[in-house]
Amino acid sequence: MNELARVAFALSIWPGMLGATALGLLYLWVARKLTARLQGRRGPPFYQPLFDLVKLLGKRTVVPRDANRGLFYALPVVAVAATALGLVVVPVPGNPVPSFPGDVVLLLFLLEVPVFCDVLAGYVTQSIYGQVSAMREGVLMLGYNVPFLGAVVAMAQHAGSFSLSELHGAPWGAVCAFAAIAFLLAIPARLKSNPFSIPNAEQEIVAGAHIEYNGAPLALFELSHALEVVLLVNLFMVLFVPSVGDPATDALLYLASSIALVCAVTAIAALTARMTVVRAFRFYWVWGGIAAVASMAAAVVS
Amino acid sequence: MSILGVLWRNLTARARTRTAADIVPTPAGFRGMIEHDPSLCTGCTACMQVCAPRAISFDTTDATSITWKFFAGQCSYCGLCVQYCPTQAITNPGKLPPVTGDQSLHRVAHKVDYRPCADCGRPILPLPETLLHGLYPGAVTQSVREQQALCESCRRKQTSKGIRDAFLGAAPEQEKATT
Repeated sequence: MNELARVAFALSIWPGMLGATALGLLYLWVARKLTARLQGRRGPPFYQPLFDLVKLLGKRTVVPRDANRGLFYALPVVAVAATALGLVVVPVPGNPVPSFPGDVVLLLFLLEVPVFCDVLAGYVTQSIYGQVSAMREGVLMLGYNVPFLGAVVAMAQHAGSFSLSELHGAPWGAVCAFAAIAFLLAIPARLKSNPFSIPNAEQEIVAGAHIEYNGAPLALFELSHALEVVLLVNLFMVLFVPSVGDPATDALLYLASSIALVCAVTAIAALTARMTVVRAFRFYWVWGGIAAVASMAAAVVS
Repeated sequence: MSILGVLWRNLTARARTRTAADIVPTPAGFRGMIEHDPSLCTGCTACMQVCAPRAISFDTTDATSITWKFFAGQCSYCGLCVQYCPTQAITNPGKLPPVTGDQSLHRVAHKVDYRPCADCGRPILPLPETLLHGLYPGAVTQSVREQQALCESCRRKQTSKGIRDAFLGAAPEQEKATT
């Protein structure tokens, strides 16, 4: 297989669009089902996220009068495209695209693109709720990136490289534990789940940045969220779960730990109430900052 | 922490969401949705007259049949139609209307076919067999059946002819032709 075919395969099948969409919808279903069970409800069947997506795709799109049409349609597409590219960069088992030096930096950039799209979507639709959501998302981003970037940079320092495959093969050490804690601290906010569901606070600012979105563009935003879950889970696996060597065991380990991670985030979401944006910001700069500094210190010392 | 206890109880207990099958049993004497037997219906429209919420209607637009129509969504389950039906064509066996989002399941339409009069051919609604036995207990003879196969005016003619014949003797054929 030549380079182009490999990239095309990675982008469209695995770990790109097709595989990640299936996995992402599975994760979303696990999260919904577990939330429902924790709240004493029955929960949806496993195909519900797919049905939601298909139904949205089939609906007519209404663009708000004051919105910029081009931006309105472009933002969800950019969000999905960036997340799909991010999926290709991460060297999960079976990814045909080789890791290259500096892909960590590219991935960190691609991870921020959907967030920026959300912020812009909040402003572009001219809805006051969307604008509040966009503002919250922007503020929160400055918070959760402290432990998130801290964890990734500490792991890169520990491995002595900015290449994801080398980060994956890095030996286990104290730095991994600290960095994992910092990384996990950032995950609920990145996924906008409780207690950091501040930008998409339902019953408070309706649906947040996506309030004026409907039809296919909303479906794309939902898809980009599903892909984002997969991307973050993949990154967590690459950074903190070492490879066993056997492909089948690796795949099983990958699936088990990713579902465990999704369940943990969901359980925390069911357990907690939403924070105010100020408290969340303070939480990330104090506790996230401590975790980031601790992992950096451990990386420098070791 | 009590919230953990709550979550654990929720997770381990059965879901509080109920399905349509979990419906509670109906009490004794519960009227419920009415049932209509088209083989007993004479199309007298008594049920339609007493139905306050107009859940029952008759469609008489077709020349060859009459259609009894019922919509459970409009029914108040008062049971007046059951009480007023002279032939017990309407009963309430205590069934609930189906739990569904599909309104068509709450609509019932029964067609009762007309039959041509044996003499003049006008469409008539025949008396159901069960009613015939109720009206003439043990005496549903051939002449009764022949009479029931006629429309009202033909039956009246036949009755007056019978009476006249009884008094004056059978009229000659030619005389009948001139009248």
